[in-house]
Amino acid sequence: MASAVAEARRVLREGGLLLDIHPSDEPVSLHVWHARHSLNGDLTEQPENLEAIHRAPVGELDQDESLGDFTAATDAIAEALDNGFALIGSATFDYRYFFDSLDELTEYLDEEWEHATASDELLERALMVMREATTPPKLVVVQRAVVTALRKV
Amino acid sequence: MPLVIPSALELKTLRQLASFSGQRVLEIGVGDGRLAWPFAPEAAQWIGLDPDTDDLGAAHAERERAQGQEKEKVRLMVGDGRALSFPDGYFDLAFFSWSLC
Repeated sequence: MASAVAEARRVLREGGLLLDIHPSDEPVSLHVWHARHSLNGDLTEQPENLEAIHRAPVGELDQDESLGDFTAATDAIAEALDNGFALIGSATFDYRYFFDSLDELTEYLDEEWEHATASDELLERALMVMREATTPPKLVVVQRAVVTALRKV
Repeated sequence: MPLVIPSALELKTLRQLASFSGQRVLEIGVGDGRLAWPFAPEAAQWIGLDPDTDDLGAAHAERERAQGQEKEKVRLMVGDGRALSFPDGYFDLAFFSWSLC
């Protein structure tokens, strides 16, 4: 979609900023989180509690070829650097999707995600880890995202 | 919806790389507006573009519920990032949110 970048450049003023956010092409992973001890508030929404959270990686989701769309975004940004933009900076962060049960996770993946599925083997491993948790566990899908800022030159 | 939307980490990372303050912003792929609402109050103007009318419907509904400055500053339009109907040099910031995919 290089033409979208070219259009963005056209409508930007000199020195204007192009900001892009998209999922990286790294594998999407599944974790089980539980609190090492009882916490005040929600396991997922209390940054001050993060040190008390035990995170167990379970494995990676199976991904289909549509993940290549995200690679296309990375390529478009690289092309922009050769076509009138300069790099200001880039950073990554993780989207975290929280689920209370395997059913909730699989239902969400079926309905909302076209590019990733959880294998039976992965779900079985997750169930085993959840059973070992000493406090109520959460299933956490972790998807890395990339943010890039470019300046029109 | 299980995702904490928008996550604090997402907003923090975006703020590290860009300031929206006083900027005329074009968001390409605005979807339901989840990234527009946190930043629009500080922007001069926020135009959200998306080809998906269902998502834009959700954004319109959210805009109607809004009480603050974002209601006046956010304008939502159906459109394709590959053919923009804006004059040259009109925007300070063009923001692709999952739309270069």
